[in-house]
Amino acid sequence: MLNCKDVVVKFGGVRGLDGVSLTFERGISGLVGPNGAGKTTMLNVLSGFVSPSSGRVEFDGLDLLSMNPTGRARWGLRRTFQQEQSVDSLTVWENLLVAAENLGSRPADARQIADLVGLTELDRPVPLLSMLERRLLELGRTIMGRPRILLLDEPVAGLPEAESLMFAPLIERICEEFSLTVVLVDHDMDFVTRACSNIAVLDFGRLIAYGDCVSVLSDPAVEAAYLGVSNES
Amino acid sequence: MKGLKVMWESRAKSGLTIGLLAGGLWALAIPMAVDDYWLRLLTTSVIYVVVAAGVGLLFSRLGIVSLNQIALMGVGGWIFLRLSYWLDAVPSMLIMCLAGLATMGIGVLIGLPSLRLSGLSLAVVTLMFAAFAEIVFTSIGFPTGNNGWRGEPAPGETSVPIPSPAFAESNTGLWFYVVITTTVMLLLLWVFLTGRWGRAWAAIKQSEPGAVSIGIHVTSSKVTALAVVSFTTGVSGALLAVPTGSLVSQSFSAISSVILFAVVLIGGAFSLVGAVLAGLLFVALPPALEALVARIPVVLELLGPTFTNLIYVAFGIGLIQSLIASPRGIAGDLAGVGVRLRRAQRWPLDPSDAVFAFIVLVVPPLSLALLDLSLAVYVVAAIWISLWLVHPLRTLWPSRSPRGIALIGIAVGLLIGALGFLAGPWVCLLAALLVVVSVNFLRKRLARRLVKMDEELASEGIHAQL
Ligand SMILES: Nc1ncnc2c1ncn2[C@@H]1O[C@H](COP(=O)(O)OP(=O)(O)O)[C@@H](O)[C@H]1O
Ligand SMILES: [Mg+2]
Repeated sequence: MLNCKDVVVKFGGVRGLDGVSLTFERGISGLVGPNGAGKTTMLNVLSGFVSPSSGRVEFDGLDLLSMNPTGRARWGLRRTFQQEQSVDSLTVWENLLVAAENLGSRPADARQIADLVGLTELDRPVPLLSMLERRLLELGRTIMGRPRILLLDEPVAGLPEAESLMFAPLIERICEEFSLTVVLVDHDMDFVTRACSNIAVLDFGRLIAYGDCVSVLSDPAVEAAYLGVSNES
Repeated sequence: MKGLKVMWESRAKSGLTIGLLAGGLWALAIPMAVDDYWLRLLTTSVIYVVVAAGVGLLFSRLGIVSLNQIALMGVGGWIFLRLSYWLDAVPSMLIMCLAGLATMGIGVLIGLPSLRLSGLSLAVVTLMFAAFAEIVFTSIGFPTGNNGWRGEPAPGETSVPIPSPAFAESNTGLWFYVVITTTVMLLLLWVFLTGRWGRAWAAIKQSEPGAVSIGIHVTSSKVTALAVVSFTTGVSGALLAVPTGSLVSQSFSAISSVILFAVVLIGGAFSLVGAVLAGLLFVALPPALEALVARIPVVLELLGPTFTNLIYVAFGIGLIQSLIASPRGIAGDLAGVGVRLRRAQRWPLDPSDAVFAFIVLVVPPLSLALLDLSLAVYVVAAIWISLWLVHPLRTLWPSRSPRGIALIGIAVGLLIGALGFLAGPWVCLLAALLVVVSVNFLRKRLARRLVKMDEELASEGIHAQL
């Protein structure tokens, strides 16, 4: 159970997150909202790249904010980035290997994970990969060793419809295999509702709705946010 | 899994085997081929190969612009000289390692700003250290075999050099000693580069958040790189002190660290081959250029004794060339020439390549300095002119085969060379200028055709990559 309590992030005078309290259960949860709503900022807080000015983040009672980002990654809090981060100067295999080496995994496990996400021809340099393969590689890198929490920041951005369709079952499989808590960020409602049971909706740094798909989708505040109208008016 | 690992390792290892084999052959051939003066010079350049490799590693893997590596080399040399006086019974190999370890400590310490700074500000800080070291070296000097912590002769005493080891008596012995030590240092760097640390460095270079998110400790990775590079640099500083048992502070000026960085970019920061080229360029090119210019009375008259500064101009041109046209330096372009030769579709040399610039700018002065033949001047001139002509001629006749164009270029080059041999250097120079300028002028007028062809070449390049 990943628990956020009254998380506030200030960028100068702007509030990136404005007192967000949220609980993500084991399984896949969605985090949606229009552009600039604070989704990436939320993941940055969880993974340690941004320190909140107040608030708490706990996982099963363990205080996550006391660990630095590298420490969190090694402990099992993994994430991907909106801009995918595979190392261009290495091959696919070396990309998996470097993650395995630093996340306490063995090369043999790296090989298994390549099979799990469906990567082949591992001796190719990364610049020769298709966008889909780069996204798969990134996903593979996050589940080395002993993952506990997986934060995915728009994992299907830039992929054509057909390819992003096959991503949801893959994430489900990974979630089950490692019994993870997955937070899936996307602004595409369709994709998120396909993969998630619960959805949280952010707008202007505030949580405006949280619950199962059906109730969230029918929430008038969510509709307003997605139409680009401020929910206060 | 096993097959995959074996495949990977075998690929990395085959590069190593080829490198060691080629290096070994060169190492055996050079003492037979060159005279004592050049052997000593090449010995020194081999020592600098290690320093260049360190500069290249820091820059290409971690983006650290370190402008104090020559100063660090001086630190290694200083410690080595003092230790060899105190520990005169200990083999010099061991003292070199000790000096390397001490330099490692200092190198990590002065490298600490690189954990917080980057880019230009880091470059300036490292340069500041180099300047500081220069002041210290100049004021306290390098130790000789005298007493006291500075090892300086007291008034009335004469300076005693540290006795050099037996193998350093003969130039050939020293050459092999330096080559072997350098090889060991390069192997050490290679092990780090191709191993776990090298991969972590690559990830950090790509993106620090990305590296952190897969559990990489950015700080300890950077410190490790600094430590390894400082160690090898310190050892090479010690190596520099071995032959004469003494060092002079002029060898470790701040400006030489800056020039070394430029030369590493020219040679290629991304590979150890580039480091070898950089060592050669850094040490052997200046005297070669001097030897060449000394033969041209006009330049001597014009510039007087300051003509030695021409080397800065040459390095400047090389740096601009590599920044604009070949970010991977001569070594990277050499790999490209290899690919083109295998495909055998294109003339393997391209004026935008550093390899081309290397052949045109460096080979003539080097060969002129090495071969004392007046005929050689014109042969080199012929090659030179041919190379400059091939690309413009190709744009004039895009339909002709590359080999045909190359033949025309070579024929014109030979003709002008022969003309020079018969009628004198001025005729040769004028004819060459006339031909190159007029061909380039015609080429400019066909600019549109040129653009089209470059597009074709570009798409050809893309296909080659895919
Ligand atoms: N490092 C930063 N400095 C200043 N403002 C930031 C920073 N990161 C994000 N923001 C601002 O915070 C808001 C939320 O951004 P973000 O979390 O990236 O939104 P998204 O939901 O699209 O991922 C935006 O208005 C953005 O401009
Ligand atoms: Mg975002």
